[in-house]
Amino acid sequence: MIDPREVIVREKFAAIKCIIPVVSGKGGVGKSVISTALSLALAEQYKTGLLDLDFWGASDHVLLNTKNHFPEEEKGILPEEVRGVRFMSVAYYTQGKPLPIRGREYTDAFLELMAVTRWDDIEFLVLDMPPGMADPFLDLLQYIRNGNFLIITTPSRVSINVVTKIIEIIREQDLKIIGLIENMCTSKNKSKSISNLIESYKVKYLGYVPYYYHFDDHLDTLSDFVSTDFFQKIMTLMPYFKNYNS
Amino acid sequence: MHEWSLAEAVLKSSIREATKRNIKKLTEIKIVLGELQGIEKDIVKFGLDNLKKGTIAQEAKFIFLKEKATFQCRNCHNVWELEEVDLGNYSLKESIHFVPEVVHSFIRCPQCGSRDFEVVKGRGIYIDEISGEDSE
Repeated sequence: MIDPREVIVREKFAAIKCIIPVVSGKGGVGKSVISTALSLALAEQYKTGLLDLDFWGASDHVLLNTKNHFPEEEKGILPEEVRGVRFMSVAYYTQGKPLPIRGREYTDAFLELMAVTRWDDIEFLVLDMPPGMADPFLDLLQYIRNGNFLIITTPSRVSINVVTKIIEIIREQDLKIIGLIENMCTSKNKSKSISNLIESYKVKYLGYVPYYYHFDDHLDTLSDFVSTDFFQKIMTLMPYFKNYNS
Repeated sequence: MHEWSLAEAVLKSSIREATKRNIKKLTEIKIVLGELQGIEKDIVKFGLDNLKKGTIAQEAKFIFLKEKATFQCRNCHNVWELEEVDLGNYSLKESIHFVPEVVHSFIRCPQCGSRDFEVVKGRGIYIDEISGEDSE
């Protein structure tokens, strides 16, 4: 038995100039909002795609306010374009229902979505990863060898502890890390734990993003979202990404 | 017509496998279509017939085999088939057609009601066998 999707998935990933898996290991640190904001920011200058790989907790479609219909088909599936971002998510197909699947089923859904989605000529593909180091993370390591990882953590030692482990695995695999964003900060000063982490693993510190207390009040529309201080802060990080477009 | 992408995947994988086995000319490709995904055989065949031109599969014959979808509950071990459950409206079938795993969003074990079940057989498309000749 030969799974026809594997070859084509590897080919599709290999053809994309810059893939940015947004990872943490820890949940609740802001991967989805940063992935979404980063995609919107990149899309202002580059052809950009966003793939929500958090099948259990897909939420980028909520942030992007997508329409609840199937993406169009033409020799594959064409991602919906939202403010310049070509977006794909399993949420288009679950119709608002939960998706309780195990690891092997996750891998099947991942291969299926990648095999049939047409990213065409995109320059950046942002992958919003679920937390943890189970099948989604292992699939990433197996099928995407040209990823440039973006690490997200909060200043909490609890988060940094888990993030350290995921960085260790990425380093072991000799994969590239663009850098680390410290999210939900209540202080401008780097903690000792963060300093130790970036020094030990030679990870570039891209910056901190403050904790915005009323962030949720700005999710009703996309124009509201991109006018937030949070989004403007993400925009200031763009220079770190432009070198990866080659 | 996302069947086109699947046809492309079938052809590329068959050619890659043939190359590994030192097959210079593919004569037959057996393709299994799982009931759950509901792939249109004729569209896949149309895609394959178009895409094979100029490749080592140019003269290959495509054999399609249907596989019934069978499920097994991981909770109570009940085994059932797709025809025993009501998938309801067209849009649910369409969702499953694109990503078969979303079946877990829509059906539950008919015996215990759990959504934790395995699709034992008949999920989607795969290549069962390729045949060919080792000289052109």
